[in-house]
Amino acid sequence: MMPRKNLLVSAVRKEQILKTLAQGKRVDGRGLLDYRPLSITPNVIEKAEGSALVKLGDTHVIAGVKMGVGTPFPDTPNEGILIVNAEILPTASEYQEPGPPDEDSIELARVVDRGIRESKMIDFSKLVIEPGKHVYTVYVDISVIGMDGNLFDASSYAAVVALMTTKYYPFINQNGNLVKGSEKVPLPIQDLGISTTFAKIDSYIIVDPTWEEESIMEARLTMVYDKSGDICAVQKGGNGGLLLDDVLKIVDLAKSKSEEMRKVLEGVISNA
Amino acid sequence: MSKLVVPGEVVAKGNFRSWSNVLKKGEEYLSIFVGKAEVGGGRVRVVRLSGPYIPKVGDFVIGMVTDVQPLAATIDINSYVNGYIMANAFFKRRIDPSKFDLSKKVNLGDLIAAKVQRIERGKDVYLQPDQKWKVEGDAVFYISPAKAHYIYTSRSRIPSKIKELTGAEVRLGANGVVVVKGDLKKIEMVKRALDVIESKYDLNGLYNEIIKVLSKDGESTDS
Amino acid sequence: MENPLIVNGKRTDGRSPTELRPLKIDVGIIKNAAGSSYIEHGKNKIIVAIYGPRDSHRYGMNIERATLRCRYHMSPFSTEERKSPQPSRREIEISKVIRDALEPSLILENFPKTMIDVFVEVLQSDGGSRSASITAASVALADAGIPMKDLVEAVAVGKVDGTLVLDLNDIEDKEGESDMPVAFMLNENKVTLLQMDGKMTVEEFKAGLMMAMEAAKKIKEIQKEALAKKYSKGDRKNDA
Repeated sequence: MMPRKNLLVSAVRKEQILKTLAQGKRVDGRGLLDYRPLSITPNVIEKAEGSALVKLGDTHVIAGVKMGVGTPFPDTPNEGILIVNAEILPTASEYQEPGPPDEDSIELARVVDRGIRESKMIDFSKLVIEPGKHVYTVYVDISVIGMDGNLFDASSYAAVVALMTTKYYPFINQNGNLVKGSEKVPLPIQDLGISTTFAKIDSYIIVDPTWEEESIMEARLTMVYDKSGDICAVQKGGNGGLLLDDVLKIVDLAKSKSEEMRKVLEGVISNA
Repeated sequence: MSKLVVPGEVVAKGNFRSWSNVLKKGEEYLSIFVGKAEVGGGRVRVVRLSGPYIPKVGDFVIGMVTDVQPLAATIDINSYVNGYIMANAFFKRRIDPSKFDLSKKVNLGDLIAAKVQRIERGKDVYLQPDQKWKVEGDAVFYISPAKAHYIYTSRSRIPSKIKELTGAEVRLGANGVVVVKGDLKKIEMVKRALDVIESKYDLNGLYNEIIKVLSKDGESTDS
Repeated sequence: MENPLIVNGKRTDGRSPTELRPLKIDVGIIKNAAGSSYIEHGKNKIIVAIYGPRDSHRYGMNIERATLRCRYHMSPFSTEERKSPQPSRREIEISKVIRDALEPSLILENFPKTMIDVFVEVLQSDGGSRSASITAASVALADAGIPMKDLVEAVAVGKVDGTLVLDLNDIEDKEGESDMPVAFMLNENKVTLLQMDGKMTVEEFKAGLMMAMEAAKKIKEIQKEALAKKYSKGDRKNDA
């Protein structure tokens, strides 16, 4: 049996959601273009080089960064390696079975990965210890603890804040031997991609959908903007289509929303 | 006397005529739940405060249709067991199974008001739909099934008081499903009353607490 | 011995041999779960979610009572070196012994042919993560309203630098002479988890067991407070 990923929302509840939207509100009291209360706590895992716990309403995600040393890929001998992995834990919902990552976990990891990679967030040319031989591998592991929709934004915020606050012991190449340095250094950060996710329900466009809203939506659009305001990653989700007009509308809405969220994340990072 | 107890905690000592949700160990009665202990009149009991809805014959429940077959519908009754409604339960008369299709009458996602008619093998819960079985409303909420069942079985005045103070129509299922009819403001008030139920363990004090919260509500919106 | 683990009666983290590490429990942290808890015990940071009882048609289901399933899993960032997300043999064994430690406390006959899931996620690991998982899981099961005879609490004792110590931290666990996690159902005077590796004399073993039991009594008080805090939220507010 395929696990049920969408909640079956009762007819009465669906009506309730639509009637509330018609009055410019959400069932949890938000406006259509409001995020849920967002709390971001960096450095929650002392054993990780970087970490952050994100609570976006009842969606709870923790990301941890571990630094390793590996061999570079043959086609990029002068670049460090990024590995993003996500697991929607069985703690997150009753429909999540324990086991290897399912398609949702893999999609989630890949979308977060794309946002980090394509925004050129990390200068990978600076993560080389010995060209062609030893480079750093940056592992970003994302664990979704509790699930109430919009895993993309919550996971992306957790990942980027964990990376921004990462501090690690560098390795120094001494006559072919790798020696651990004595002082921790931050990652070479050069940009920050900000993810925002919108959903279309009936004729309404909303931001930061809950699981219930995702279960009745036509479709969803996640957009990541870099600091110059360019789009660096996009993912459409959901089993319906989006009108071309809606896509164009969301592109603009997402841009201004991403600027708003950028301030929030930068505030968290500067206080970390 | 009413006290919050946890599993394994001694609720009372001595001899009692009847007891429930406790284990008797010599002279001691130990709670098996997180709950509200009630001791008196020769009786010890713990009213549990969490856990699933445990169906009892005669309970009024509100459930959601999760599957429809020609002759039976499966109902999610917010429990660890499924509810079932057989097609003939909708009618007073016999039906011809070869010509009948329940899916023309009942839709996936419909909320259904029903009574628990019988429970077979401890697992299959058969429901008898109400006269007005299709639940219409403007909002649906879920509260702790354990507390809902307590309010339901104790014939509490809480549901009628909420109706009176909010002006909304409210139907409370013994399984914790609450359906409300009314405008957004009324729904919001009902929600506040339900939040009181969710946050308190002293179920005896609930009635007065709800009156307090809802009358505060009235004042603030008037001014 | 290169570095002593006990100096002037004080351990690496400043504790005396019979002292517990700081221990904190929160109840009801995951919305979708039937019950949940979060524990910090030393540097352990662990969440537990309970799902069920729920209908299950799995082969081999017990037809007379609920079947308990347990998964203990460590997040990749929970250890000094990144841990592969795939469950290791260690995690699979610990999952089993946690289940065996909890099951005797539960009254599973009330829910025949159903499944109850205990999902343990170690976000950060320190010495004694299995003990902390059991302590937290028992609270989460109570939060889920699963009937039980008693709460279960667990703690490790062991021998470090020739001294019997309570509640081993990471370095004591790795470099000490022995480590013995124990779980209790205090009301029934029962031990529901007992493992040991390393060496102890028979006398030390017996004394260690008693030491663990005394500590379990303290842990039980913390479990009770954590549950009371969640269930009397509204009541406390009004008292203030």
